[in-house]
Amino acid sequence: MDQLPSQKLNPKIKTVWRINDLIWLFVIFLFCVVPFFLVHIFDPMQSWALIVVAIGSVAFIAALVIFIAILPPIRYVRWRFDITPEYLDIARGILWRKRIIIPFIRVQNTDTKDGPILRAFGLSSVTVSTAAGAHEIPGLDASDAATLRDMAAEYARCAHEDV
Amino acid sequence: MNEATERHKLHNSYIWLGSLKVIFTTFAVAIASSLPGIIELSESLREFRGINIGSSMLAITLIALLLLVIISAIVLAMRAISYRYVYYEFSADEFTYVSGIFNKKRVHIPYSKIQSVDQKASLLQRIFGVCDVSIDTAGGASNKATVIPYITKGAGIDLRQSLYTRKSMLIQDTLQPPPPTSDPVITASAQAAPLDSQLHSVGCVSTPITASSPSSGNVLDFGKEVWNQIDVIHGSNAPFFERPSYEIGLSNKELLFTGLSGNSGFVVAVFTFICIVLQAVSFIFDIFGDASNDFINATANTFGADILVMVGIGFLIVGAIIAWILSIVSSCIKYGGFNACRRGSRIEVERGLLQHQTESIDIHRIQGIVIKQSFIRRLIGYCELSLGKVDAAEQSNSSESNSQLSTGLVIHPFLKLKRVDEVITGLMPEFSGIPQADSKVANVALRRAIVRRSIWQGAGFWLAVFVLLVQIALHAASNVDPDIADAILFIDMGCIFSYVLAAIIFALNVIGSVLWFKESSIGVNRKYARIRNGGLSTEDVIIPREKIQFGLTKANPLQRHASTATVWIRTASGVGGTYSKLIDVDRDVGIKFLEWMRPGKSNELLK
Repeated sequence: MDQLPSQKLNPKIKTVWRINDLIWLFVIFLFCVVPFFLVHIFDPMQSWALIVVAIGSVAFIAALVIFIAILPPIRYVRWRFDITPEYLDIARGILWRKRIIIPFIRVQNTDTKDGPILRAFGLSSVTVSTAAGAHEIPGLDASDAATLRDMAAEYARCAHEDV
Repeated sequence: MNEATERHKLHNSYIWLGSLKVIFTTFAVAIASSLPGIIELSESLREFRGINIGSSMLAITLIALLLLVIISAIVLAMRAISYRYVYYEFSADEFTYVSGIFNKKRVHIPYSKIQSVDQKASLLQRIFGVCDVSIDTAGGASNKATVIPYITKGAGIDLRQSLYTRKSMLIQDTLQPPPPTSDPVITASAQAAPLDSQLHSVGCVSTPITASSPSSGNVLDFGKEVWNQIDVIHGSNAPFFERPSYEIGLSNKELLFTGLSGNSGFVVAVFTFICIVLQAVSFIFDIFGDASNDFINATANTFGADILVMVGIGFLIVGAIIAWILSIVSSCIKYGGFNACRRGSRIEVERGLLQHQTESIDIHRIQGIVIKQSFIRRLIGYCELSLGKVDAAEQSNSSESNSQLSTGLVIHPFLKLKRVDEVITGLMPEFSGIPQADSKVANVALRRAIVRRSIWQGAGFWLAVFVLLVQIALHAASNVDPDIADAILFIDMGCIFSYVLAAIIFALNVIGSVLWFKESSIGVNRKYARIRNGGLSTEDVIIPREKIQFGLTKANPLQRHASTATVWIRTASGVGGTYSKLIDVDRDVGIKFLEWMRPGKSNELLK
């Protein structure tokens, strides 16, 4: 348990994360900062609006740098998993590092999922659900994801109590 | 089976008794919303037509009565019509409940999926010998229990008995795969998981194991006898198929403590009382207008305004005390007739002298055992013992939120700590071999706990910070605003008072942190995990290994620096699941815990 699990995600997930973060950062910027910019255009007397726009833009650029340039490689390195016939072992998290063990006897269903961005890169995610919450492996090659899901489903079916 | 398609109807009190509540609430809402209009109407009648108060009140009362009759007629008619279309039936594998006139709703519940069958009866229902039965399947967060309303108590007992019997028969069937030829052989199979085979030997049939005498009775038990007599009159006193194999009740002292600990009811009662008094006073002023003003002035002149205020305040205080005593009494009554017993493969808890309810849970469905101590319980060496179970999102049991510390099924609200082992062994003998929580938290956890609980999460600390900021701001403002400058003395006094309060809270937080450090620990063995969190109030959670959905460790950068981690265990109890956690165990203990989580490694210990 001292060693990190061995398997990593597909490297293309980094680009998916970048695109995702770019989209929602842009949406936040649009809704939070642009109205103040419009206020300034229609009523140039309100100089404070320009200050808010400036602060917002600086924050937006800083967030861009963090989420697009810095975070994805670190997130990728820290996202690891292992699958054995008895359990699923996941290690993830940068600041708050988590290590999760999910015995297959507790797994109720296994799913794969892909949104438009994941599909564009040929990836999909695998979700393993228990009675009290689900865990997602976010980005694997689509065929690998299908194989993993099948393995997980088979292990869940065959698992037996060890008590 | 000839009863497979027999349709069971509800009792006819569904129509008239069930309507009462609807009529009452509809009428109350109608009156409350039209009250301002009524007052205006009476005033204008008086002014323009010279009709005196008496006649206008009479007219209003007549209109209200007419409204009541119309509402009652409509509601009763609707209930009567829908009564014809409600029934329930038992088939081979599932229970079916059908309701609805146009939109027919059929609920099918497989016997094997039933988690618990509970019974509830309000005071009026008990007088007429009917009850509501609710069937709970552990369907997760969005699942509501299915309620079969207004069946006679005898039918309710039959219903619960049938469901549990059919459920245990199915368990026996599924244990041994049926031979290829004919009917399944109903025997316990050697393949059975240990829990099941122990179950069959403990008593799914009616052989009673020596029942432990109830811990002692209490004064309210006579009330239970009265209700038993009423049940005899209604013919619904048939006993269960299985006799209880262990029972426990509340002694007088425990009943009183439980009543006293229902303090949330007290605050609500006092608040409601004050609101009602104020509303009544303003209502009187509105109706009687000038006359009441004159009355107040005359009294004030006679006795002096000071005395009037003191009388008013004294009246409110006396009223508050009476409300408090009433809330204690009502909590005691809610727990009158309390009884927890083990019957067959389930644990049943019933309570309530006026409104009565029975909750039960199958022994398989217990997600964990929780031993909780509030500060008061801690001081006197008592605890609350409860069982974790999967809950539905809709919690309609608002009446039990007062004296209870936790969700789940409370087996005993006020139990002496020393008796916990005895009660667990009696009610749930399958739960033997519970480990001690012997791995304490890391040494560095003390410093981290004090910082975390007294500063970052400390109400005292942040109160002091807030008051300091306010004080600085007001002092700065007093240079500008003369009104504030005048009041600066009072402001400073208020701030000092707040600082003292903050210091007291801070000290309590520190004490709680030290207690938490000394008492918090984790332990695992082949069958269970146990997490104990100490402090001013404590919680001890025992989780069967097969109920752990997943386990994890989490460490933030500070924890990694201090070589500690937090252990989290996830079970399905509560709504959607619950985490039990222990903060700041040694890093090695966290690693060993993850090892233990791996199937086949249950022999790993944490030390």
